[in-house]
Amino acid sequence: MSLIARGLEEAGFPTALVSVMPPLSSAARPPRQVIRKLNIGATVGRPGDASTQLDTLRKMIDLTANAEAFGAVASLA
Amino acid sequence: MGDAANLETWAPSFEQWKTEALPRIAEGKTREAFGSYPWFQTEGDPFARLAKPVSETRFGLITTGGYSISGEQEPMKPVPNFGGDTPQLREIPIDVDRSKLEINHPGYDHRFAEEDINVNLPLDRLRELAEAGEIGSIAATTHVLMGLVVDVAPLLRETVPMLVEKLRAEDVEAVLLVPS
Repeated sequence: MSLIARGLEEAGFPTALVSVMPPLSSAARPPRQVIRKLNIGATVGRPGDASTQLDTLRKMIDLTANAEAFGAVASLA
Repeated sequence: MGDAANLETWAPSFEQWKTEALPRIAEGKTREAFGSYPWFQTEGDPFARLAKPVSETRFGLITTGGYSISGEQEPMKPVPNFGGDTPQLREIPIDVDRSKLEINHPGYDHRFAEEDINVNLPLDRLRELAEAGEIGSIAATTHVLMGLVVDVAPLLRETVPMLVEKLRAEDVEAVLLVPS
């Protein structure tokens, strides 16, 4: 997914990736990522927890607009 | 060219790895086989600027959740791509009949998504953000991959350009990526 993010940024699309496995996602150097301590398969948030899911998406959206440079990382619990 | 420029130097190491790894994987020694996987070396620092406020921006969504629509789409094959095949891609409309969605991905626990699809396909949450005016809009189509892409050559040469074309066709301006 990091490689897709890179290709899209090169084509002119700002992106944001959410990752629960930062060693894996970071190895391919995504332009921007939000790191969460969540389960694989529930990357955006826990089931039924709209608040956590929105936190993830809002942080991702913020990165697409406000990241200052390549390699931006935001962490959430 | 970006990352694709490095494929020629990466490809021989991948072929060598595959020769050694596939017999190990066949023996069930998957972890051992992937311990020597030749990670692709990226090239450059691609970074695009958003030209307008997010409240006016049209967002696209890409996931590797491995979803397909039962009865309408071929289920995704639950196997890694070890060479040559273009990574599988399904287009899921954001207003899809949820009861027809199947998860074909073998690499994660489906119970979370079966309880609440928004955990890795956050269609309701994105709709709420659009309705609240926090983002401009959401593209009508979500692009779904399987992940498990071991041979990155077709991903870079075919899938990424294909996604760029599809996103542009829907006037997408920024993209959220959700792996599973």
